Amino acid sequence: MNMGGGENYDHTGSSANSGTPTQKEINASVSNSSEHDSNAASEHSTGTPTPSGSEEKENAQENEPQQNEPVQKTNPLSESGETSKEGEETQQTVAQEKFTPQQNWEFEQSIKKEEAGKTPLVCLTEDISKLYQEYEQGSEIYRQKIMKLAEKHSKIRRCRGDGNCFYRAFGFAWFERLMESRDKSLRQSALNALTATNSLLNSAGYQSLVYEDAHDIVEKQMKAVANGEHDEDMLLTIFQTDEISNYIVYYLRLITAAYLKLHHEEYEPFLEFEIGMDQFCTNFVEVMDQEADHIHVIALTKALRVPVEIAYMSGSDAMEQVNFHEFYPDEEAKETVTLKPLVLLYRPGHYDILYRRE
Amino acid sequence: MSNALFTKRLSKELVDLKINPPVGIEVTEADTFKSWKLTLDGVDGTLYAGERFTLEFRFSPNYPMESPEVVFTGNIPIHPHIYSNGHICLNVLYNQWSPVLSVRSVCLSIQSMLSSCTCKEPPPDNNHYVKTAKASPKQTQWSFHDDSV
Repeated sequence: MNMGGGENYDHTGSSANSGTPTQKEINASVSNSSEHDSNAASEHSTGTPTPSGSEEKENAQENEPQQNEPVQKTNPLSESGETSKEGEETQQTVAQEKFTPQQNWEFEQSIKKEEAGKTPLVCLTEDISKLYQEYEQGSEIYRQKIMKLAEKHSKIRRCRGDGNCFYRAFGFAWFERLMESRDKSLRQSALNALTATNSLLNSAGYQSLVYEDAHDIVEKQMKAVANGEHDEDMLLTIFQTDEISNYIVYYLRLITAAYLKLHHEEYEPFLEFEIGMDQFCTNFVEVMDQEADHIHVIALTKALRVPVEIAYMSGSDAMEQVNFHEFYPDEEAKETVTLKPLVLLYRPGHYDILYRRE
Repeated sequence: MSNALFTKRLSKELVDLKINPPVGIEVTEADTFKSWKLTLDGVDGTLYAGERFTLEFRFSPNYPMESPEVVFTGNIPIHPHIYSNGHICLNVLYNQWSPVLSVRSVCLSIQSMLSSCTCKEPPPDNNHYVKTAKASPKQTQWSFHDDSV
């Protein structure tokens, strides 16, 4: 199912991008990476040019307070790629002066590796004041928003900005919720939901050999949580171990893709560009490091029946409060969901985990 | 653990390829989990009918999280997206790789890329590329914007 048809072939090898829309630009607009493209533009312009901002994942977000706020919108689904195109053009102009695209790309790859070395996949929790400090030199509106956020939230747990942060944050927060709840029926229903994903993936047309190892890993960890074998340290170790952590991310991606494929009539109208759901999943869900938008969040919460609330913090609206979006598996039956919603913080291009004050 | 997962997955793929081989694709060498060789037959009714090519897959222990390195060896097909050093410009081998793909699906993608070819000619920048390319095609920055072939 993932073969033929969808691939774009190329004959330019190492030559520079032409002016025609490329796969990368399409990526940039659908995957909502426009903001950090702009960040990357300013970041790299000091003697370290990069040819294409859309290759950048979310690294810029992680360590860089946003001092020059690009225009940001609150709804990822409605984002267009305009900012990123501008960013790319600037970068390309700079890039052409000094290095070949190939050299720039190699440089970019090395930066990515370096960044990855700095931030664990999932970090220890930090007091919410640390988030405030990040913006001390930055935008006033962000500081106000964080003050507001701090009224009800005490801690933040950062995740590496590698394009997988939504899935990783979701996975960690979900496992942690179950670990803390000590409620046997909640744990059992999570295990049941996980078992049900086998037939979900199967119905969506995935060959079992591409998902069963990932399923086994997730199930093994979930069972350990359900049996009370994991404490917070253990959970953190698991999510910081590349292989296990990435297999968990991969499995959550597959669940998201399978749900979207099986409900394609419902969600296809939300896709930008004239691509079908299969193609969307191939390009923007199944591939590791591809960021998640609203549509991915909706699919995953529904498929696993795990409610999520996301605090959207962007510099675009002048209001000092933070907008919360609720993603419930079933809007009508909110009351029947007994698992407390996972709480995530979204800043353009990046997700972290938030903790409510008790 | 790493080793176990990657060999487990490849073992399953090998069984699957042997029990249910795709038409025109055959595993000829798979003694280790480092590299495999497969033959790929040109499909009847296409420009490559009657020709047989060999693909080499090299796997890292991070497979399938990381894409395999895939090149043609020996007789290299003349195709606008295949360089004369065997490197293949196909997005699923690089930035569009996903662990849902497999040796089977990669072979089928390459087979379909050959089948849809309308003019047997090398890539326009073949000479330059072959001179400057590194040994592994994964160290090349590919850009994919030609949907037409």
